[in-house]
Order: sequence, then structure tokens, then C-alpha cells
Amino acid sequence: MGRNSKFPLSRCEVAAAVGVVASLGLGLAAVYFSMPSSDYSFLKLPRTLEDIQDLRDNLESYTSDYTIQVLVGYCTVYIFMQTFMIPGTIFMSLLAGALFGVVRGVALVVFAATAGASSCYFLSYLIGRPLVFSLWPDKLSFFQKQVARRREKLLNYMLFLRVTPTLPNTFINVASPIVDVPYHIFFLATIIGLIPAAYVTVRAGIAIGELRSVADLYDFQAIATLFLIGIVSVTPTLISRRAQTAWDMLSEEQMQKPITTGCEELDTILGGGIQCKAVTEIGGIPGIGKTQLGIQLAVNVQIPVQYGGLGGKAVYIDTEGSFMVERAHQIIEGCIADLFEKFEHRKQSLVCPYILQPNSFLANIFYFRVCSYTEQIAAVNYLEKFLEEHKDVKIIVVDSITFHFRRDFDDLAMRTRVLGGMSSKLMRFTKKHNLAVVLLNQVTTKFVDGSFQLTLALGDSWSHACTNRIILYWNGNERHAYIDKSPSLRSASAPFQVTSKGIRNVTSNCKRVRMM
Amino acid sequence: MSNKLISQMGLPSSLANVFSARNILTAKDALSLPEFDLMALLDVDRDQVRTAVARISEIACPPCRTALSLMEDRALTGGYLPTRLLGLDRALRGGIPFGALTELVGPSGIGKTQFCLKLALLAALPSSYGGLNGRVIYMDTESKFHSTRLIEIGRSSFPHIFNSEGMAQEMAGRIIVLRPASLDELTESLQQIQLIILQHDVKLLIVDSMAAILVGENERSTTGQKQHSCHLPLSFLKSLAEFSQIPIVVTNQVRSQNNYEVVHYPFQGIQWAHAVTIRLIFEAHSGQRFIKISKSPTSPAIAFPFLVKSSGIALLSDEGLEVTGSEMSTIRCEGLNVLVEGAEPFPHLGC
Repeated sequence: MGRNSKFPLSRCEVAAAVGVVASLGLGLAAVYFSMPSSDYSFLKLPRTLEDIQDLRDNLESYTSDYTIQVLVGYCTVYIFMQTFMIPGTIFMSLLAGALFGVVRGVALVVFAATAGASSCYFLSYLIGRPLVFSLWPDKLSFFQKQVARRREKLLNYMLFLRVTPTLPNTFINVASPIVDVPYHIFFLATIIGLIPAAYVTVRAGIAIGELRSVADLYDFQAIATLFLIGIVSVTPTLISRRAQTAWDMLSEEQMQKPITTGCEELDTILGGGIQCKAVTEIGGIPGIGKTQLGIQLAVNVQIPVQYGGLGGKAVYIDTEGSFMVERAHQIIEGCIADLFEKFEHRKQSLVCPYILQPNSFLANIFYFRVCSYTEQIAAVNYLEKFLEEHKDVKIIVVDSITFHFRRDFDDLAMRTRVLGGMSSKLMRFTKKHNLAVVLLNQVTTKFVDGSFQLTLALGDSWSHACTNRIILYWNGNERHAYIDKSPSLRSASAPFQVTSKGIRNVTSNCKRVRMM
Repeated sequence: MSNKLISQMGLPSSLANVFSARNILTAKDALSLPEFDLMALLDVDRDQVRTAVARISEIACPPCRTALSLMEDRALTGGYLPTRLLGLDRALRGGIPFGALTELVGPSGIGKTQFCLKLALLAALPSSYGGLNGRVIYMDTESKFHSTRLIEIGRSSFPHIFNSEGMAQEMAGRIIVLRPASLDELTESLQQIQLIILQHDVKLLIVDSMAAILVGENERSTTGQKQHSCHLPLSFLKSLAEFSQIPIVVTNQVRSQNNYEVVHYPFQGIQWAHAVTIRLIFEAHSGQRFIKISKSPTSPAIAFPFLVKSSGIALLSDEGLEVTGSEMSTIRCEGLNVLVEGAEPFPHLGC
């Protein structure tokens, strides 16, 4: 990426920063040279109220004659101060009120402030992001996740922050690009949110002669009004959810991303991948690749949002001891390699580089090894509390769900009821925490229609428990997946391959899986 | 975990008393009942039952670990017993893994016991020669273990070790041979083995073969019992492997009716198939014998041709043949004298 590992900024970023400074300097110089010669000793960055009153007195005469120069000069200075976070822009707003009156003053201040905030945003994007990435990667990813989660209501939150004096505007300008607030939301929030504050200040600027100190400016009434406006803007997010209509659910479902399986054809028949808010059962004969698929899903759920994934964590409940951590490591390496290949054209890394390390992926898989059905029931019950504490778990894989229930249970009716309780609990988790539950199941031989056939274990007593059911089988020399039961997906079949990188598409020249 | 006593779980004493009054003493008793049944039995309301069950579950639940900590543990223990067969070790990424169940399956007389003998030797060798420097427990159910053959293998493969004074004796002395005659004896030995493993630094457990014991057992016991009897050693072995982090190798037999039959699942059928981590199929066809990696989490299905020599098993080629499709799990026994046991296979066994 053309980056010196010690210094987090690349050459072009430093060049861009210098360029911005230069253009502002140029603007100021242009103004300076086009103004008529006279005594400009009063021209300095306003620091106190007296400075403003001075400036106002001196500039009033120029305003009508040299409006353009004054406007350009004003804007340049304002933008300069905002971009480089120089305090004192409040004085500039007062000045605008004093020089141009209410309406034009507010328009000018809002324009200049938005332009300044935008340029500060871009500068922070270029310089601040890589800097903070390298200094505080984990705190940063925490905040990024918080912002990503509130994506739909982000405008309301930003408006609230702009309107009320909760956070200083400079901080908002600098922090927004670092936590991935998109520019259009930032722009809208700034241009609308600054209007009330600008209005208050500009109005005060008109009566600047009467002002004793800045404290008079923000009296209790003004601040209360600002807070009121802020609360109005943020209220929609606080209203609690009532029962949903199907329309709400549709829009929610469309926004919820599915978990990719790694094989595009398989994703296609699944409607994009394994759906959250649903329980999916996957069954097949030994050796077909159920555990491989389970591990692949536990890895793919962690693909960061910026790369098109869910950025979540995984819970893996292992009842047979089939989870091999070396294989998980192999699959993770394959997933990361594919991500880099896909997003090769982006020069800058979309996320902190430390997130795309195999160890971070491994640390996000929570593993429970259950050795009896009691432990399995206990684990599912305990998950209720666990999921409250770990809100970013997006998939629960149980490998395999019926193993311990096929023996040791003397009372079969009791077994059915216990299984039913477990399955309804899992179903509840999907709805409440918006995650996917994947149950891997074994096959067994059953005497059906006079011959022995392979069917899913505990099939009949268990069949109502899952939303979707997928069967993996051999078709000649290829592995196939077949949608056996689903309320929304068509019955279809897709081929897939188990490679050293994990589950992938079947390549047309189905040549050898090379051993590493 | 499931046998933890409710009285020691820190529930409020009134609730704990109610549980013990109704004879629900362990976590297993409490969690085997659905919620409503518990409510009816204990005569308490739903919220109390819920909090009690949540508390019991929290304690009975196995500890949560991240995959990262599993990886770190793995790195500490080493992880593999190399088989010294280059192609096989490369495919399995090291060899027979620790902490997992490896199954060798194939028709009788093909070479499984030879392979086991070699493995036993390799585990007993000192670490300077690439071994595990530990003891080996060899459970021989069919009286196939011959110490003379063992020494012969040792002499051919590692002449410099075995020809030196006393080494042969010491190596052979590290291999403990048990001969359980029935399933009960086997289960009993298994229970004791857990202790032996810890005390005597056992590095490998070989069970040769499971099938012999369970055949006899199945012919004797009733249908209901069959389900339980073959699951018990299976799950026990698995948890033993994980707990003590040693490799456990189990051999299994193929039942077939004809001499050249293609069999899909070995004896003990599908339940076994799901439970083992690595399955190596020994088969014969086209005049050669093959070791086929049928089930492995890290390797695609590959078959290596082999021969049985005086030094044990030797691969004829280190680049295996690829195997695809349903051939992965079939076992061909052409041209070998297959031992036919009993009249028909037992597919209706849940095993």
C-alpha cells in the first residue's frame, strides 16, 4: 500500500494535507492583496469580545463597498479555523451577525461552518484514520461497531449531537470519519443541525454593543431551547417497538444480511446464505462435510461489515468432539486470503489490519464441548445469559444436535418433550437476538417401505423444530446440497466442494485439491 | 458435570430443599424434565423454576473457551504421532493426532495389526529417535499380538536401536498388553486405564479390535441393550482421548457376505462413522493393497498403495491416488479371504 510501516501516513496523504493548507493560504493572500491599502492593524483572529467589537466597527465601512472581498475573506478564515481546529469560531459567527444582519448572517455562517466542517472531515479521514488505527485499534473497532449498529438512526443521533452543546463541534468533525460516519449523513446533520445555534449567535451579534461577555450569549433560555430541539430530533429512535407489521418485517429482513457459505451456488439457492432469525438444520452421511460447513459458517459470520459480512461472533457447541482447531485455522486463512483478493483494488485497508488476523478470528469463536445430553441442555439454557452478555454473537452452530439424545434416554416421550423445549429455546434466541442457529444432524438407517433407508436421526419427532432443512449428499463424485424443507426457499440443489480453504464453488475443471 | 449435586449449587435453601424432597438430586435429574413437569412435581411457580433451572444450567454447563485458547493448548502438547510413512504423514499434516479417535478399518488379514504394532513401537521409542518416549497400552481382543513379530519389526526398522544391549527389552517392556475377553471386562479395563494413563505416562492406546468384543456381545444381549452397549465404550474412548490428550487407535472389521464385495459401512455402522475423527480404510483391489484416508478434517480423500514387509508397513508411493465420490467410504476386499461372521449384517442396529 506504499506505506512506511513506522509512519502511518502515506506520501499522498501528507501531500493532500499540505495542499489544503496551501489553498487556504492562497485564498487569504488573494483577499489581502485585493483590498485597498489602509491601516489593517485591526485584522487579527478574534480572541475576545473587544476584538469583535473592534473588527465590527472597522469593517462596517468596507462591507458595502467590498462585499465580495469581505465575504471571501470571512469564509476563508472561518474554514481555516474549522479545518485546523483553531478555537474562536463563535466570535466569527457573532461578527457575521454584526456585519450582515440575521438572514444573511445565518446563511453565511451555516455555509462557512458546513464547508469548514467538511474540510475538517476530509482531513481527518486522510490523516486521522490511519493514525488512530495504529494507536488504538481495539477501542476504535468497538466504537465503529457501535456506530454500524445504529446505522439506520444515525442521522437522528448526529442531529442531536449538532444541535445540543453535548459535544464540541470540533470533536464531532474530527471523530466522525474515524468511526465510519458516512459523509452524506454528516453533511445533512451539519447543515441542518447548525441552524439553531447559528441563529442564536447571529442574533446576539446584532446587538453586540450591548454584550458584556460571551456568557450573556448563552443564557439559560437559549440552551434550553437548543436541548428541546435536540430531543425532538432524537425522539424517533427512542420510541419502543410495538408489534410489527409484515411490512416492517419485510424491510427488516431486506436489511439483514445472510451469512455466506463460501460457495456462491449454495448461497444462491439459500437466498444469499444462511438467514439470521431462522433455525437451519443440515444433515448428511459421515464424511460429507457437515462439520466443515459448520466451521466455515462460524468463520464467515466474522467477515467485517466493511467487506460485506456481518462482523459478528460465533458460538460452537461441539457434542462429538469433531471440531479440530487446526482445520478452523486453515479455513480462516483461506477466508482472509480470499477477502484480500476480492478487495485488492482498495488502496487503504477498510478496517484495522489487526482484525484480519487468524488469531482474532479464532478468539471470536466461543467453544463449548458437551459430553452428555444434560450438558447439552445446560449449555442451551446457559446461552440465554451468555447472549445477553455477548450481544454480537450472530450464529450458534450445534454439532451435532441429536448425538446425545439417541441413547441414554429410556422414556422416549420424555425425550421428545425435552427436545421440543430445547428447540423452542433456540428458536427464541434467533428472534430475540437476531442471529442464525445452525443444527448439524446425523443420518441413520430406518426401515421404511420394506427396505433400509438413510434418514435424519430423530427425524419425525424433530422435524418441526427447524425453519429450513438442508441435506448434503453425494451425486456421483460431487457433493451436493439439497433444500429439503423451507417455507420461503424453493426446493433446489447445488454442488459444492470442500477444499483446503474451506467450502467453495465447484470449479469447472474439477481437478485435484492439492495438499498443502 | 451432569452428576453435580443440586445441594451444592447455591440455590436458595427453600428451593434446594424442595428439589431434594422430590428426589431430584443431580443436575441430570433436574434438566431431564421439561419445565412444566418440574413445576408440577415441585409445586412451585414458573419464575422460581426458571431461575432455578438457569442457575443449575449455568453450573452444569461446560466451560466456555475460545478457539484461540484451544489452539494455544494444542501448540503446547505437540499434537501428532508421526507414522513414518511419508505420504500419510504429509496428508494428515503430521500424523495420528493427539486427543482424537483414529479408526483403522478393513477386512481381516490386510495389515491393520501390523500397522498397530508399528505404531506401538514408534510411541515407545525415545524422543531422540523421533518417538514419544512413553508407554503404550495395547488391548488385544483377538489374541493377535505376537511379541516376536514386534521385535522383528523393531529390528528391521531401527536396527541401531534394537541391536544395542537391552534396548529391545526396554522397548518391548514399555508396551502393556491387555486381553479383555468380554465387553464387561473391556469396560472395566477402560475405567482403570484412565488412572493408569496419568500415573504411568502412557502415550498411546490401541484397541485391536472393537469388533470382536461387540460381535459376541450382540449375539447375547437383547435388542434394547444393544443400543447402550456399543455406545458406552465409544463415547468413553472419545472423552478419554480428549481428556488425556493422547492418540487412541481403534481397529474395526468389515462384515461381508461375498469374497469380493464392496461394503459401504463397516461393522458398527454409522454411529461409529460419525464419532471417529480420522478413518483409515485398508482395502485391496486390482491386486494391490491400499490405505485410504476416508475421513479426515484436514485432508482430502487419498489412497496410498502399500505392502506388508518385515519392517511393518511400507508405502509403495508417497503421492496418493485421489479418491472421489462414494468411493471414499467403500471398502473393497477383492481377492482376500474375508472372514464372514454370522449370517447377516445388523443394519437395524442404531450403532
